[in-house]
Amino acid sequence: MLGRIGNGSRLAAAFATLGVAVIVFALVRAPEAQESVSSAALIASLQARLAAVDPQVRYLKDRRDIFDVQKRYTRGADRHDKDLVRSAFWPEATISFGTPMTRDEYVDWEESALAGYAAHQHHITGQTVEVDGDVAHVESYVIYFLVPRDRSVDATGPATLGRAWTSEKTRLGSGRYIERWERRDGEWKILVREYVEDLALLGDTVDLCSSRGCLGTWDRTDLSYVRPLEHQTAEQRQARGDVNLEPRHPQGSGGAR
Amino acid sequence: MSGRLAGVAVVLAVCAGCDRPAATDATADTASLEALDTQLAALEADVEVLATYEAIFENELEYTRGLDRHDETLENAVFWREAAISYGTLVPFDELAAWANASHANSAAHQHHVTGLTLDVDGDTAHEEGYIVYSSDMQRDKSHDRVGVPTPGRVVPGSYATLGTGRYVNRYERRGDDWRMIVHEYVHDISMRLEAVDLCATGCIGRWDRTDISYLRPLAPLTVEERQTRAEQSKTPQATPDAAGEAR
Repeated sequence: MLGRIGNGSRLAAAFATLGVAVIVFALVRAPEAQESVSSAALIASLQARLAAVDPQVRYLKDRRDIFDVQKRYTRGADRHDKDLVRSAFWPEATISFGTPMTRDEYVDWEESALAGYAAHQHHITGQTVEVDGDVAHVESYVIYFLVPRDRSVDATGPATLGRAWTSEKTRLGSGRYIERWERRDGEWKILVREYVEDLALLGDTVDLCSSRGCLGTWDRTDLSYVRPLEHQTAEQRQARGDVNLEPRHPQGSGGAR
Repeated sequence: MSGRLAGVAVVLAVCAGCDRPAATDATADTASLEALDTQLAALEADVEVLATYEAIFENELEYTRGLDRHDETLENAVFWREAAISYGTLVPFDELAAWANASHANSAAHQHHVTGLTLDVDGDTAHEEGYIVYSSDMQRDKSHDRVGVPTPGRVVPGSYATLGTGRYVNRYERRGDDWRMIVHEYVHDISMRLEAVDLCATGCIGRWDRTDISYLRPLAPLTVEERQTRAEQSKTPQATPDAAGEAR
């Protein structure tokens, strides 16, 4: 491990042999001097190796950080957690799905737009990234699902997952978040976002809340926020599944599971 | 990895705290340095595992990005020249980009997602399986094509699209620092049919060349007018049905 010899070229082998000969000679002649020479050489090689590993780790960390923040954004959108969404963007960010918006305009617009559906989910599948100092150009591929909402059975109170409108189609969309990111004080966030929709498909709608029950919520009571997570009994699951169905549909809800 | 970093730190601390008699100094230093060397070697090995995964995942993503943008440079850069590429039959490296781009251009739109991969690395060889979700095959209304500019286009009303899933089963080879595919076998697992939305009816701004906004550096926010101009280009019929055949 100490003396890694490159690719075993004859020249390298010859130098290695020469090196060993020099060391043996030096050991015989002056043990103490040899000790400090080899220590100095080892320190230099350790320093060089650390210097080589360092940028590799930094690159991996940048990639990881950017991916994590992007995931934080989609999780925030899907849970209607505006703080989480906001935390992925710098305050002066410009975000456009057609019309440029400020961060605060965007956070409100997106939340209310998504509240018009019975359910939705956004998947970031992959991300290509070019890091240049404290700036990164990022393209994230996204697949999303939007389920039409039957507003006639909406409960009053805060918006939450609702009953699907089965006579309308569910939309599966596929697009790209094209973005410029900036790092400030070690933190990567989005500064410019342009959304490009590439295709959209329509399929028949299934109303999960009336067939299987739907556990998700659009606030921090969602199961994913529970710390520490404990096993949910059938009753606990049912209680969560029922939350979305009250108060207008006592039938076909509790027993649906 | 953090455990190993901590180990390196401990060894450094031991070394810094050396104030023994001069006779044992050198021996202690050497022992500490050798321990440090071992720790660093373990760290390097861990980083290489992560870096290899990252390099191969990025290569997969560059490939799908190349397909989706019809970018020949990207499509070619992910393979070694002598690669065996098969989607049922072998496609020669030199013909791959043209073949893929022509086949995708029949569709009004398409996108390929790499959702995850598994990796098995052995020296300079790696076996990799990438999971793919894609959509394509929505019938294209070529009467709206612009002459000479392949671009995502109008969907024939009432036509269906494929939502498919499959796997890129690959053998990778490392040459120098570069990991690329030497064998690429596509395995198609699932196809389903869904109705296609005619996105370009209201304006779509994706492109099948380097005018796509993902190539802009640095990316600046587009004005409403800029978006509209891009969308209009894809929406407005600019070719006669006769000329449309030449658009590809």
